[in-house]
Amino acid sequence: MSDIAVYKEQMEKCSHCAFCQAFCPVFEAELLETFMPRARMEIARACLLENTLERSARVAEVIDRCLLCGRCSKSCPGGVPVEAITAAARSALYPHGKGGPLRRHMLRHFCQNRGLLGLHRQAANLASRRGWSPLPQVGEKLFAELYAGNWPSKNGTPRARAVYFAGCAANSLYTDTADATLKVLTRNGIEVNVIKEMVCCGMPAYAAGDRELLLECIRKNVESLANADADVILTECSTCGMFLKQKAPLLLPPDDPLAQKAKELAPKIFEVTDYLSQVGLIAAPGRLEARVTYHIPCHSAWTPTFDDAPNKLLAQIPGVEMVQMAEPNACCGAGGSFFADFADTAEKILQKKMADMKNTKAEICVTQCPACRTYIQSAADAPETLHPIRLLAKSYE
Amino acid sequence: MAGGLGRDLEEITGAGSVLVNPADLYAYRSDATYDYATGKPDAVVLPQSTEQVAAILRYASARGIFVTPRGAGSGLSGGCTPIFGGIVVDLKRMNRILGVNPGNMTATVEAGVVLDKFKAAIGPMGLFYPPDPQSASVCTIGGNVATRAGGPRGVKYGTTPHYVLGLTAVLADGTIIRPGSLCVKQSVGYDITHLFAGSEGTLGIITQVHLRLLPKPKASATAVVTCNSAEQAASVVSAIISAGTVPAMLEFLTAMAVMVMNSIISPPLAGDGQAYLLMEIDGSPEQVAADLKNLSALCKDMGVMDVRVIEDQKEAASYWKARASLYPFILTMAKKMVIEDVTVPRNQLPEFVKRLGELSARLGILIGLGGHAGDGNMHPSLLFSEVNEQTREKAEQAVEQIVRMGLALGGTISGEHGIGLHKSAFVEWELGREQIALMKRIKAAFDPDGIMNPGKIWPYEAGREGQEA
Repeated sequence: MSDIAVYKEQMEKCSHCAFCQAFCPVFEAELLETFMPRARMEIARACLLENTLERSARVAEVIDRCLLCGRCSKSCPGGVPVEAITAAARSALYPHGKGGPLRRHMLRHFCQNRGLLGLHRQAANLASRRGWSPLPQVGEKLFAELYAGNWPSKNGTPRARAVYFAGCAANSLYTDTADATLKVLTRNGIEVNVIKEMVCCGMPAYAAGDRELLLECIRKNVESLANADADVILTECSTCGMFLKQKAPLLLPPDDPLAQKAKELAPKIFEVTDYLSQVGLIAAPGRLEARVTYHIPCHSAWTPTFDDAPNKLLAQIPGVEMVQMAEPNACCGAGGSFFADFADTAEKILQKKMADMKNTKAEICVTQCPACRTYIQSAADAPETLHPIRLLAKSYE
Repeated sequence: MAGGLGRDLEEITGAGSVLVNPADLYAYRSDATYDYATGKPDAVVLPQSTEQVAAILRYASARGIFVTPRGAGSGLSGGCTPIFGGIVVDLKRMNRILGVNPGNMTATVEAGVVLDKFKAAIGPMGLFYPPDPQSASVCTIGGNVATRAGGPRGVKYGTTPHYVLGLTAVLADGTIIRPGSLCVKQSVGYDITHLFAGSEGTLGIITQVHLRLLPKPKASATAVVTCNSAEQAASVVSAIISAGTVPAMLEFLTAMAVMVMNSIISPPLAGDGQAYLLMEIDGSPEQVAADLKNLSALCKDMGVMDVRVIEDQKEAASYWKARASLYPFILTMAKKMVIEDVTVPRNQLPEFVKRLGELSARLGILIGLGGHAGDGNMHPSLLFSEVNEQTREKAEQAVEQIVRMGLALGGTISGEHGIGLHKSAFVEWELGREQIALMKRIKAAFDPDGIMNPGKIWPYEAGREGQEA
């Protein structure tokens, strides 16, 4: 998300073929070409680079009404990084980050703490109690504070030494997921190091166009991870992992002293169920009767095995039946805070997802993205929605 | 909503279906040919019924406002670009499949139905709709009819018009007509249905289409033929056609095309051929096996380097997916590309390929070939590493010469993309003045004020075709 001008040449690679229409959840929901990736990029270019289109609230909306799911970039036959260009357009649009001083302050506080603390926590809990927000109540302490330190293998000689990076949601809102991750890893012979000093991965700052904050986050985390000298770096969050593994090395300026370190760390970073399905379980799961379906989050595919890992792993639990929904990788509409900012579009995307999910008659939906979890759970007659690692942990109880 | 036009249109379609903001209008300037994004609409409207389309056209014709119908905006001729402004009628929200009738092997769809979505809906019923423009993931059936869209299956199954039995269309003054029917044979007066096929939005707006379907072939197989020259590949195509064994798809690919496609083909095609033929054979399992045997023998007799049948379904699918993306793919290796659509009789393919090679050398332009050779539709693409006045001029020169070359061989200037703006200067070379004059008289009967998609198919003549721009 450096200067949008950096992408000038890549923008010219757009053949205007319109194939991105087939992949963009926002276009699919609205059926307006204004919201197709081709047009979003053209509008950004005309307005922010060439000054042939006047800046307006509508231009900002077009650039903001994007989930940053990355399907356009992944599917573009010309290889145009449309999603990265949209994020760069946000930085150009909001040199100090999106929103007023209060929103920016809250984002900074949230990123620096990797979760909700103090007044922010109280406000979130009040909203939750009043039913204004779909989030659960937040405990007083963050996971990384409670569990900082080294956790030895509970199953013989350690097979690997891992740093566990709990994403902001697992660290603050869904600490059940972080607890489960720690438990399953140690039960399977992995030594786990929880580092208190790490901060948010940077994705929320990236989405808000706040370049300064995002680089701060990346630098701090790369430093901590490089110092930890682990065999692997595991996270339960699909977005944090994608961001640390794929985005961080690209976003740090090439002359940044940490850029090389970020590149070296990347091959060590895995989502926890992906990692476990690759190295195999050594603690046999107990019986658990459940019909389960897996919603693949947008920020998947940072390894070739990611998209199938939870299916492979959970199928090893006796009594668990994995049922695949139609288009398991279709977006649910959450997109970080997209569902709050653009509820109308998000709702349309969610309805399609829920119809597909309903057809599976699953009692449980698993997904590695906390935004998906919250948003899917908020739908009427949603199945119980949780991280796949929770189900595995439950089978060990 | 600013301005009277937007407000007036909202009265017809309701709020949320009319766009007048400059950012929105900017999004509707171009199709897949960016060169023709020279104008922008004054408003975009997204009707949801034939009646709304009729009301929009009544409104526009009463005021002499230009109207440009639009499907996905994925066309390759500039056909849906609103170069003179006016109203863009975007049909993407008319996207219902109105009925599928297996007992009659027909279906009725709204114009905005996306082709792949239609195929996905009828596939599980054992039904098959062959037309396969390579933009099938996004293009709309209304747009397919309006441009006579084809695709690789043209060689065996023909193109979109061959599957159109009837339609609902709105004339420029808002009159709704329903030419044709769900009958598979019809002989009642002029064939108005097929007058709309290829009309590119110049006669009216297609809102619904009756389509003819086929039973899904029980088996299919994919094979790759490696050839030592482009001329050899062209000769093999001509020989296959005259042998009477017609593949469902028969694609011509240069070594360069295969090189860019290899990013999707899995495992990549490793070969030292100068040109390749990619074919699919379909039918009953016995027929497929027999055809494969015959075609392999024929290819080997002609001295090709290799014939390989791709047994693995996933691998075969990767070839066809790569083929579908070939056009945007090419832009990973060139800065600019002009894609040509000249089509020649199949027996003339070897000569056409030879002359293209000579032209490429003479003008110093890289010409990529990746065409539907089986139906003579070669899609030579002109590739440029720089975009400037000189390359633009060269491209114009080359297009003109390719068009003349195709016509000299008894070909046609467009096989499946349509004329739009890209070919309007050449139409007279193929049709002659008399036919164009006749077409203009026909248009006047459908669109007396000349409001429908001005400037397409033939150059705009102010005063003779409605109002000044």
